[in-house]
Amino acid sequence: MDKRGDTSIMMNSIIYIIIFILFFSLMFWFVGSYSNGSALWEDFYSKEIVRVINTAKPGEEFKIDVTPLAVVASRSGKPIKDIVSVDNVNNQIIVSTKLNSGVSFKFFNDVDIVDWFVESPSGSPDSTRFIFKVVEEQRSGLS
Amino acid sequence: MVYRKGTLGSGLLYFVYFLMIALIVGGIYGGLIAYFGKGYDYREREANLLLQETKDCFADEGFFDLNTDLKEDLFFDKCGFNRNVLEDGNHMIYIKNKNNIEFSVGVADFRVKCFLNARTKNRDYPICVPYELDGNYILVGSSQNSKRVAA
Repeated sequence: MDKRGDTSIMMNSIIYIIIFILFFSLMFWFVGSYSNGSALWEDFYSKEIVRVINTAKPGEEFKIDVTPLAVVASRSGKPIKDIVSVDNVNNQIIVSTKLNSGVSFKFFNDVDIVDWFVESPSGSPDSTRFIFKVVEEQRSGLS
Repeated sequence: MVYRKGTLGSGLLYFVYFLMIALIVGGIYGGLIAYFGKGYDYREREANLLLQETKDCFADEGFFDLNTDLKEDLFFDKCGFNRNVLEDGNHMIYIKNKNNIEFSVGVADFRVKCFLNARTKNRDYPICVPYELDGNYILVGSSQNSKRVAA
């Protein structure tokens, strides 16, 4: 009787361990496949675009290649035209590769960003560019 | 005899318990790193950029030669910095010119935090860049990190 009881406890433990290993393996696979490096690219491009804006002078126009961002966004179903946006009221750039969330970063240069859009000439994520112009701050509630 | 066998089983369960704890903690940590990544540390680059712009502005506008206090409005107007961003709690500019006139905007506490050892690992702390020439001293710091927002 006692020996059978011991075996039952050990078997239960082994089953628990197997279930937990399976669960965490599945969780790692899911998280790994879901992220696709999107957090890294969002963080990188928000800061690099802000770096360009911080060194820019009014009147300048920029075209920045954002292909890696567009590739990740297209995999998660995000429209390519919405991957980068500008908030002139709060002086921040918002980069997003997922449907409901993104990453923001502020620029200290007192300018406004106008005529900004994401261009994808071939319709596919390849050769996607973020185009914008830098002008004097207009203090007119641009968004 | 029976009692001693029970002790053995109970002891083995501790091993299982700790293994499960380790798996849960490891899983959560690994999941967070996999999902969010360690990120791109931009604080020093931003501080360098802010220092360069400040230095150029002070030289161009003759603020290094001031004998009276510099007004904040004049500073923001002439240097082209956005007031809301520099006063958002993540930036600091401190200047002491050769005439001992001091001027600062942003988080005053950064003058201490800039030199704490924790600043390299903890991204809530600022990374600062000092500059000194001809008796003029500038200290610029940034602790800005990207923020996750609804988009």
